Amino acid sequence: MVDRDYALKYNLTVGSKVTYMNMQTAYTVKTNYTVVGIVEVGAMSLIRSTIYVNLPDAQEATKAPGQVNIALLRVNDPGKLQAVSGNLTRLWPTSTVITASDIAAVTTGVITMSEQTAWNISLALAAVALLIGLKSQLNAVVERTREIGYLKAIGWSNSDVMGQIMTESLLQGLIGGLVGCAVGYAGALYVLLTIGGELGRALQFITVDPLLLGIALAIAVVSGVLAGIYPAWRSARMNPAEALRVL
Amino acid sequence: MPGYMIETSNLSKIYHKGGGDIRALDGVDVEVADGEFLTILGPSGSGKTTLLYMMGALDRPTSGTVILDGSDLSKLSETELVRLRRQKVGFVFQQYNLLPTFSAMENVEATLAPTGMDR
Repeated sequence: MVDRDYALKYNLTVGSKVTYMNMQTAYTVKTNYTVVGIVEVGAMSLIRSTIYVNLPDAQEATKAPGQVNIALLRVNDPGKLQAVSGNLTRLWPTSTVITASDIAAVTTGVITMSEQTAWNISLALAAVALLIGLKSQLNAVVERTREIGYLKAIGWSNSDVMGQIMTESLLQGLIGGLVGCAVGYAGALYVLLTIGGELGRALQFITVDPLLLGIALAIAVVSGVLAGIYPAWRSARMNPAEALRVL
Repeated sequence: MPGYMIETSNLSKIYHKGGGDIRALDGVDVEVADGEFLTILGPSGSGKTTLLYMMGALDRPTSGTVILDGSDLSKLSETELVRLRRQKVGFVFQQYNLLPTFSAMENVEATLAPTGMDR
């Protein structure tokens, strides 16, 4: 029997011929099989190109009589899982016995690690964005030195100037965050809708979390504010007479 | 001396630039009465703008005093100087110094807004 996707890919139907070529021996051994059924796996899986063969036939084709590499066992009484696992290890000391909880633990560990990595990358990007914002605001303040001097000359206080720069920085962070969220959301939707095949199906469970968008927006606004503090403070301390001399 | 709107006494301003000192003002004494129209003439670099900045509370002198409407500027805090600039000083700059992103109305507002004037 063959998996449905495999059958579709190679136009296989019941009665079609499939040839297995074992090239791990000294000479290539070809074994011909007739497809007797198409398998559709209900659960989501990335691997959907399996050929199912009777164990003795598979051992003959692979020239590995009496051997298996993986055996999947179901323990009817979950309470005896550890005892069964221990017995199997004792019976076959060279084998590795993995229980469902072991797989769950590894999977959880991988997911946790992936999430941590994603957060670390996000934080690193936020730090870079903060530095770029700081540089941009500093450049803007230098370019507007004369304007700031003029505003102070007509009676703007240090706190007025600081408030002006901080507000601009906050708004830039907010606008940047909104644009970033919109682009990110559209990009995620585009990827989810356009990726086909196995990967597309595997990614279908991914959703765009509104909370995550909110956090991203908050980080953008906070970054904008943080990036504005030093330039705003520098502007506020500017001597109006010196600022007005700048050409 | 009471009666003068602006009075400077032995006003000096020295700029430190490139390891050397530039003496922009050197012992300037000026007395301007209330309502008096005063024109200061001089070649470029003679210190006219520096003197205006001192009298307009935009800069502090290296030595000497500026008394504006009875207030000794050297004794005023930054907040008091800001208030004085808002209420008692009006500048017509050599360049227009208009804010290019503002409309004509907003440029006028920018000057009046700090005084708390209602739109």
